[in-house]
Amino acid sequence: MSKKRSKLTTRREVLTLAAASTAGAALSKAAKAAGSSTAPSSVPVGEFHRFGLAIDLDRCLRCQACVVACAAENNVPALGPERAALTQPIHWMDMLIPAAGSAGSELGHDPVPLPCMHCDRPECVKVCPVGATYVADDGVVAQIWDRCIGCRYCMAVCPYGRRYFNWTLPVWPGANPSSANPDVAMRPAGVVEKCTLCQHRIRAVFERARIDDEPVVDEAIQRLPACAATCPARAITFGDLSDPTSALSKLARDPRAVQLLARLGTGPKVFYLRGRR
Amino acid sequence: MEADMKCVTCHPGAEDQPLAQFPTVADCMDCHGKARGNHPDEPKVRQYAERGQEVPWVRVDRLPGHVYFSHATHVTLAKMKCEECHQGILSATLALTLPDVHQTMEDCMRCHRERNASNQCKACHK
Amino acid sequence: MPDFGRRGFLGGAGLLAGVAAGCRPRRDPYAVDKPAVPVERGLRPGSESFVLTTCGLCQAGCGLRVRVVDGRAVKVEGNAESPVNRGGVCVRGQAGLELLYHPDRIRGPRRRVGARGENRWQAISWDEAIAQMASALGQLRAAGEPQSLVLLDGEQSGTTHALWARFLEVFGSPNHIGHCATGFGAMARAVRSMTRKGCLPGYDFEHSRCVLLVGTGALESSSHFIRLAWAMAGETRPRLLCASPRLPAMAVLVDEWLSLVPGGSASLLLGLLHVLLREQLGDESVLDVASGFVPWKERNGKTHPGLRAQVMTEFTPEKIEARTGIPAAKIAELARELVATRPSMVVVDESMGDDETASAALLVNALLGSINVPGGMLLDPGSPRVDLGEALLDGTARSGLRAPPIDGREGCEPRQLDFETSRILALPEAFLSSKPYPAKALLLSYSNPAYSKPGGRRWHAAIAQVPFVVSFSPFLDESSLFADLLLPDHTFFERWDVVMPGRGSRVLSLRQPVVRPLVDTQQTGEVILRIARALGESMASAFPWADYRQAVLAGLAPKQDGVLSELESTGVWRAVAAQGAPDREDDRAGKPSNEAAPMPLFDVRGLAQAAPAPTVGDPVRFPFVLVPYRGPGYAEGGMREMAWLRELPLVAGNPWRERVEISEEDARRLGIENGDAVLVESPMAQVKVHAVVRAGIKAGVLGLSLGAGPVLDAVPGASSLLSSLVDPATGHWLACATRAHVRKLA
Repeated sequence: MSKKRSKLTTRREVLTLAAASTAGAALSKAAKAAGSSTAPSSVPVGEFHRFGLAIDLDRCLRCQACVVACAAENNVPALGPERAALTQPIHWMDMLIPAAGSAGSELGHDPVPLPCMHCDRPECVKVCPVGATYVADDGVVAQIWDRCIGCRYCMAVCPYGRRYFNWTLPVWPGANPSSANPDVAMRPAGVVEKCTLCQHRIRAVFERARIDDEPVVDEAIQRLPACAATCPARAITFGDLSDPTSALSKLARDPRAVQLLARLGTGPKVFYLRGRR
Repeated sequence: MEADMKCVTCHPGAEDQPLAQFPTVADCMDCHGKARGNHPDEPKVRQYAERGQEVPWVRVDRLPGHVYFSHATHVTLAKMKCEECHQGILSATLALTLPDVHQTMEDCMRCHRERNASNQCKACHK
Repeated sequence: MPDFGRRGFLGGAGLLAGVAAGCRPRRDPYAVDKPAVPVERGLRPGSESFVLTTCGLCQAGCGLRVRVVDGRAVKVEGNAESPVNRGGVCVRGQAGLELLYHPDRIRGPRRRVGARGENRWQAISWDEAIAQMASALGQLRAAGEPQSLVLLDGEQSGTTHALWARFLEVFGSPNHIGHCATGFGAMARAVRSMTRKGCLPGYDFEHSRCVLLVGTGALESSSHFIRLAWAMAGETRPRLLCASPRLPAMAVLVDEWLSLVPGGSASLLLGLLHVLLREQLGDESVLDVASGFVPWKERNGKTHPGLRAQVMTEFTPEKIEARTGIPAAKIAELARELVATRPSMVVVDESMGDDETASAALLVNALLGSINVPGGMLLDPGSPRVDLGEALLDGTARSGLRAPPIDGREGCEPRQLDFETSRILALPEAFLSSKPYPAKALLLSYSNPAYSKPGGRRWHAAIAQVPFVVSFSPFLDESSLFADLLLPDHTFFERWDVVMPGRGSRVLSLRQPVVRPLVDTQQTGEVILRIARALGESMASAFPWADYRQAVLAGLAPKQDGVLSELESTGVWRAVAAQGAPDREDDRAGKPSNEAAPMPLFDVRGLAQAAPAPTVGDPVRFPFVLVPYRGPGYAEGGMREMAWLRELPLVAGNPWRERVEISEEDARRLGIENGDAVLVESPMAQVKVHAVVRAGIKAGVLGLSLGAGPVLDAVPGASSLLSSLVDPATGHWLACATRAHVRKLA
């Protein structure tokens, strides 16, 4: 590990650094092998998944329930009146709003929901100097809060702008964290954060399935992340792209399916369905 | 331990929940409804029950806020024994007042490597 | 202990504490210090449960499933069993926990200290609070002036509303006043007079093929949103047209926007009616028994040409082109399209509508054959309702009820009809002038008129005029600032109730506490029972229920077996639609069914006004028209502090500042750019806001977001710009009647 990081910031634990230096070697190799299936899995050996999302723009009312559901599930703080004047709010699920008079996106000129694309070959993973972000074996581009040193290189290279920086200590709305979800860590200042495809929910479902010795069926996970679960129009579908029979796989193969900036070759795993059925 | 109790009698979550959990005062009263043993604090259980209160357990083993550990996976899937991590629990005669889990992240990862469990960061980090 | 000074002392103590705690010198940066909650009996730390309840952030009554961990509610999900929302939760519901855990909640009953508006309060007990209520209200009865009690009730259904109605009746005051004049009142009146049914409409978007939205409520804020959302989830969805002066930023699914002149909605609908009649496209048999359709004569001999003649002569598409801003050919095309793509329907935004628009919409739907059919407007008075039975009134009550209502409404039977005709906007004048009689006590339940109603500062003066003011709001707001007593209600997350969503659905939805009450609040329904019991035998005897829950169960009508057990297991109870005999005759007629005969209309007199809608303000000085709309955080202003609702991505500009929407061409002409500070002036007030320049706004219109302003700010909010001009016949607010002027501030 680089000597530069011996200058500890206040939030770094001595213990974590020591552990990281031994395990880090193994992990950064995994990070470099982004997208390959040789890295150890968070699911038992032998299982393989590629999770992604489909968003049907013909159903989506742009009501933004997904934005707030994600914030509530993942303890994403709001800004409050003073800080809102200084910086943009963090929205793990955001809305892409093409600028008026611009050429728009592949999806036209209307706003569209914008989660992390969970690319197969993500730019952010390539540039992270400390291996704080990596492609997990289930396709989710995961984030290790505690490793992040806040250089924001990942933010600079993400073509979709899906990463956010905690400029200050996040203040829970109303300064009362009672409703914070205990399954998701509250990120401290100086850390970059982004959509995790509700990886804590994925982990819980698969763990439950292993304990109960039951398979995880596609129907049970189509509405797994908070955004998909809340959508009143059922516009968001989650699933496993490595399962050709899953609802997501079928939607990804639909002629209406479009990806944002596909030509850049990062392999985004969010498919938008566009054009009237 | 002397009474040959299983850990899960009082910590029922250990086999199928992430948290091992604590006994409710109703659980304690199953055995301690009548006075048992000689410890001077033992009658407190019945006092709590009478007042309709839960025993105010104090957690001494605390995971950092960004770590996820599931008892269910380790006890039921990995078939580990409680004393492998809770060193000294077998010889304990009183409820703990100091932490007894001294595993570091390094220890966990070593064991994971040996048993072919995931060392992906998101397996354990929230 | 050596003296390190305060900081040194604390630092030293901290270090010592750290060492004593077993070598934990550094605090875990990921630890979350949550305020303590009492340990629930029988619950293990870390245990998780899911509590079924019903959302209370709008009238829709969506079923929720709230995840509770360690005695704290941490996430709102939808209840898949509820036919209202089918498991989905809208943007407001998802932000709901911000309300429950808001730090500014009033922590218990409070009595005012010092002058009104000073915001100084003394904590009192509930017993003291009830005693003070009973004393003040008892004095009114003793003096033979029970009618000087005025209740502002923000609810329109449910048991608490029914208890309030009963309380006022047994007390002896006719002044149970709701928000209908700025909302559902017009539609309620239209339905009652035209169909003789007592219910508010629902809309079956899911099975409709073509929907004309008049106004934007269904897209932005109204309780119909959730049904519109399901329609989008289906395999086919209706063609959506929207006739309004502005489109919301999120109206991407609107297939066609009809850029409507503000106030032109009724004319548009009557123009459609004209085409339907002229080309014999609609089912005119529905008007066979309608009085007022053909020429008729009043008792005093005055004759009227009848609606048919009026529509055929005055509402030709050519004549209303200017009034609506829609080309004549388009109006004709629209009418033909609605007929050709049936089932089709017209959906009116009740919060911004008026009597004429509501009636015209009902008429068009009737002619399209779209009432009580799949894909149409649902009028179902057979929905479950509350029936607490007749109450015995004493002499004081009977005498008080004979007094004229303070809001100047005509007053009629039965009482529910009377409530729907109440005129909230007449209150400031009534209070200030003490006519017809002085108001001596004002109760504010689910009401914050000083913020939410047009009239601005005048409401402050009016409320201040009333000697005894009580608010039940869980939060301090612009109206409760002037109260003498604060008796904060639980939030809906802490209450037990059975919700009746109505609107064409025969569902009951359970509301139950997801956590214990966080602070010393009490459910208003319980407080009503306690006050009644403290007011003496004749009042107490009308409220024989031991607690609110007993009152709810006693009042559920029609009575059915097994309701409570089904509610407790699934969160909802559905009426069995086709089987079993309904209680009352008109229930059969109200059931959506395959009845052969379409619903007849009974009374269409006075439906069409020849004159264009009036506006307030000289058109030269005030060249723009203000078009208010309810943003996602509206609701009597109680949701303004929900930060997630404020900071939504599609909210343009700084989310915590008030804004006005202006069209691109007007902005260009006035040199205004997106985000500029502007001064908006109306005949009522002038307010500094910032401009949002966008497409989807008609030229000459300023879109005014309601619910965006600061809380309890000294500066009046943007809603103070609005005039309280009403329809003189009904007292209903004319929402788009205010003219304005805007200029960029240097």
